[in-house]
Amino acid sequence: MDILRVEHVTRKFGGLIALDDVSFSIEKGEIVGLIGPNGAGKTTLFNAITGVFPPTSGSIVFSGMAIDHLPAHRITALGLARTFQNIRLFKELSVLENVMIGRHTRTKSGTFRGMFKTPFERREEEETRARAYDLLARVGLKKRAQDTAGSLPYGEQRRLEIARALATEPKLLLLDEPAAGMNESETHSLQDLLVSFREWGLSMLVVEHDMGFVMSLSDRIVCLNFGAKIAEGTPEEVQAHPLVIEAYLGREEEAV
Amino acid sequence: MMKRQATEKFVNNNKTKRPFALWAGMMFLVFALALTGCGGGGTSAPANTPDQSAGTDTGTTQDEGQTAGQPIEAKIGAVFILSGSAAAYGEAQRNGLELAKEELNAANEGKLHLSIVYEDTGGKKESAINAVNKLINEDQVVSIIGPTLSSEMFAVGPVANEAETPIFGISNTVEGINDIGPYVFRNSLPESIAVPTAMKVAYEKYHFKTAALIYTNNDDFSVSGYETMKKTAKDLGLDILTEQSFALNDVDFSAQLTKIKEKNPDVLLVSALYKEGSLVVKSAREMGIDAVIIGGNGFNNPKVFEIAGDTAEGLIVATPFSPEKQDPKVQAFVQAYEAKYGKKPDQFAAQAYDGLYIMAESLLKAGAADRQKLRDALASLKDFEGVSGKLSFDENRNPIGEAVVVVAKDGKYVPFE
Amino acid sequence: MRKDCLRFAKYDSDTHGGRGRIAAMFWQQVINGLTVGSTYSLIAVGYTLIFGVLGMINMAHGQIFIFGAITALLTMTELGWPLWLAFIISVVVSSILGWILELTAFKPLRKKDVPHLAPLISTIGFATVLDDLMIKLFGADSRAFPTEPFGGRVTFGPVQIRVVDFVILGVALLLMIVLHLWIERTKLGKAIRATSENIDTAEILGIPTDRVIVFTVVLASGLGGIAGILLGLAYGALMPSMGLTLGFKGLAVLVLGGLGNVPGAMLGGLILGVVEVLSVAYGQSTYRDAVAFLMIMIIFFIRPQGLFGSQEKA
Repeated sequence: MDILRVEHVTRKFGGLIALDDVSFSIEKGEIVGLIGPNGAGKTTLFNAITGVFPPTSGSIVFSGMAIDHLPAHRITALGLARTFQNIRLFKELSVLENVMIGRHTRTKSGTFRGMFKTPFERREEEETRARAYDLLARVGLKKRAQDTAGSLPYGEQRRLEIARALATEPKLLLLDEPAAGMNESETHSLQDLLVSFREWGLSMLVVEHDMGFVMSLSDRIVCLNFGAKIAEGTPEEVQAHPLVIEAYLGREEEAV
Repeated sequence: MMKRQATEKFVNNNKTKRPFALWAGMMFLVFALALTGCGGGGTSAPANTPDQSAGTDTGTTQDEGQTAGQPIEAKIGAVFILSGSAAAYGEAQRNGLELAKEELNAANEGKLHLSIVYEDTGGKKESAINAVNKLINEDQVVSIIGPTLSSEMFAVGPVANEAETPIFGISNTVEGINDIGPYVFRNSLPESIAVPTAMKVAYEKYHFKTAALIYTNNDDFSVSGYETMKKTAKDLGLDILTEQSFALNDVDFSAQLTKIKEKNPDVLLVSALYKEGSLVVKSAREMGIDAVIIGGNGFNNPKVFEIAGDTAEGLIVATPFSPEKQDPKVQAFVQAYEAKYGKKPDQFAAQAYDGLYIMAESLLKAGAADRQKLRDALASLKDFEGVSGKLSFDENRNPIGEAVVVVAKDGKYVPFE
Repeated sequence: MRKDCLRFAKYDSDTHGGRGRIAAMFWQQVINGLTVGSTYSLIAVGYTLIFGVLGMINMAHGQIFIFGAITALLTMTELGWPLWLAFIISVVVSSILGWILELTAFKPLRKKDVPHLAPLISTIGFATVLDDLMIKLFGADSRAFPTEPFGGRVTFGPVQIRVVDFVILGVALLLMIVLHLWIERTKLGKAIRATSENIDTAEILGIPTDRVIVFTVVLASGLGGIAGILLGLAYGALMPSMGLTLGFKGLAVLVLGGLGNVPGAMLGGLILGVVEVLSVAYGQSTYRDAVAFLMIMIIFFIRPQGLFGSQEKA
């Protein structure tokens, strides 16, 4: 059963076509890599899926429900989370609070009932806190829980952003260049971390320029160029695809 | 950038339509309410149509060639503060004028018909100048009553004088108003007469030795009153311990009053408009200052008691008008005013009322709605009996009248003994 | 209450000699400043909360809280309702006005591609409408605020403090502590802070930011309602024009405390109050506002992000 189905999605900005009739799907528990040269429309596709820029036409179905015109917070509630290419943490809040905010939609007390601390809310908050600590332990940030997010080094900010996204209890996690700016050993441990999430049956859609990383992580690859899908298949198939090679021609040394 | 994304996101949100309709409806409702609110308080169009045919051709005269049987049609401009934080003064003045106009038009049926064009200054000099120019050139009024504040009069007095249009202050008590020019009049007693009277009468009783002063430093009226107080204090041989000041619309006087309390003067002299003045008196008493307090002309307002409450007890003021005065003329006025507006008249209403009576008397004397003739008639005013006492003008058109010294007792001013 | 006004009871100034008296006066002035400052703080917190979530200054804040406070004052003077009820009335009326403001001045513009400053202008429009409404409904006059329940003074050695000042300081400080803890600790508080820092990310993380904004505007206005009543107690009177004049003080504190920083606004208000009062006490009363704003300019020269703001937000 597919968890996400993107069907004939087109997105225009004025006269510019940023996404041109893109279709693909992601199975439950699958890790899909999204590649393509700069400006191919990868981030636009992310924004379309998460409700930031709804598609101009076409539809996006997430676990059986059309989400293309839902507000972003509703899409999150359905079980879709993302991280950003340029890290977007709440830098003035603590590491722990960042993760706890991620639990927002998963707590019963609701935004407005959480105004006052009844015994129920108190208990639930304790649970939220415990669960946030678990996630921080998972990404190796438990010791930094009380620090402000802005004080973390870059690599740890990436991990925190992933922990925060996981706190929303997603079925599908969208990662926008998670390995950007990381050194080789950081990239390796990130890969191990992401693979370990498979145990939860978590599906992932990963945009990444580091070809080694994305090819070894993904079950399947989708390649975009000029807003259109040019190839789809296993890493080996896509690497051998003539259109993909053409799209990356002259940039291979940088890409590998 | 991020904001823009947010906006973009909402463009396709189909939930937007209903709130928009609601929004439009509510905005309409709110504006409609506000507009009706403005209607009563805004500037008004020329009040009376018969004037228009008469006053369009010549700059200085109206109705000159009228036949004996026809009444004098006089259009008078009134320049008051009718909006903003000091609108209360202008409202009282307009009330006074309106009451006088009704009475005068009824009493002089067939001889004189007055109409009044109101202009609002909001307390701003620039607006006052615009208003006066409009009244003189566009509305062709025969004279102007106002403006409310002395500082405004210093701005517009020269304009009216230049245009040879009589301008008649009904609440300008600062020194030097009459020096602006021969077309400038006022029936409000200068503070230089009223304040020393109050101080001298109080001195006779208490023989105080030390004084402290507090005043509004950005208001011509209050500064002039302060200077008079200071001069009088020196004349009486008082030792001035401290001088403090504050600005219009200030509400916190704790720093100044703490300093005054520390000096512990026998008498505290307050020169301010009633809004700030009442609060000064209230705070002073609450802080435990027990000096005798003498206030300037600004305290001549029943509002003082509403704001200062019990703490106003014992406040000494000189006033040209007291609604408690046992005089048939005063009591008739107070009753008529209360019947019409539901509250007691203050000095501003009383002097406006007197002002229009003086204007009417002078117009009848001049025999025509002519600016020059009216000026001459006004200048020769003698022994006018108004609700704010007897009034004459000296050769410099300075008002000569008497001030009554009153003291606050049980929520009203009673004659000081 | 004060039947003995005319009696010349000589305050025993001679017994406290030079330095003691000067110190006493200093502390008296500091207390004066804190009282005034705590009202500035409460006003500034209103601007700060809204600035946080919307990145926009609500120019109608002053009019909103003074409208609420005068309505409450009328229920006291005309209907004889007690002071505690007046607090509630003021909060309710101000909150409702805040909600209308959000509905009319902020929300419609949030959903359209309009210039960044458009909501600022629409709040000025709202403020003008409220000003006119107040003049129409209440008149421009100042109205006495009954302070009798807290009439006395408490003496600490040579320093005398009005009971009402204690009440004001107490209520304001308590409220600010509660608000601070509430924002730090509760779920909704966290949602407000997250929305303040980055509205899009907050939305992506499942926070219904639209509702958070509505709530924040209502909360800020309601807090203003309490500030309005405290102003009445502090100054003994309320008038429509106070919305504008005290609103500007709150705006100065918003900037002084670091835009959008709630603890900064609280401390900034107290600092501005004390500096103002001391500048009157030991300088020229003429320059009250000038000194205060000069101080703010100097602070910006040294710390462009405000006293407590982070580098990034400035």
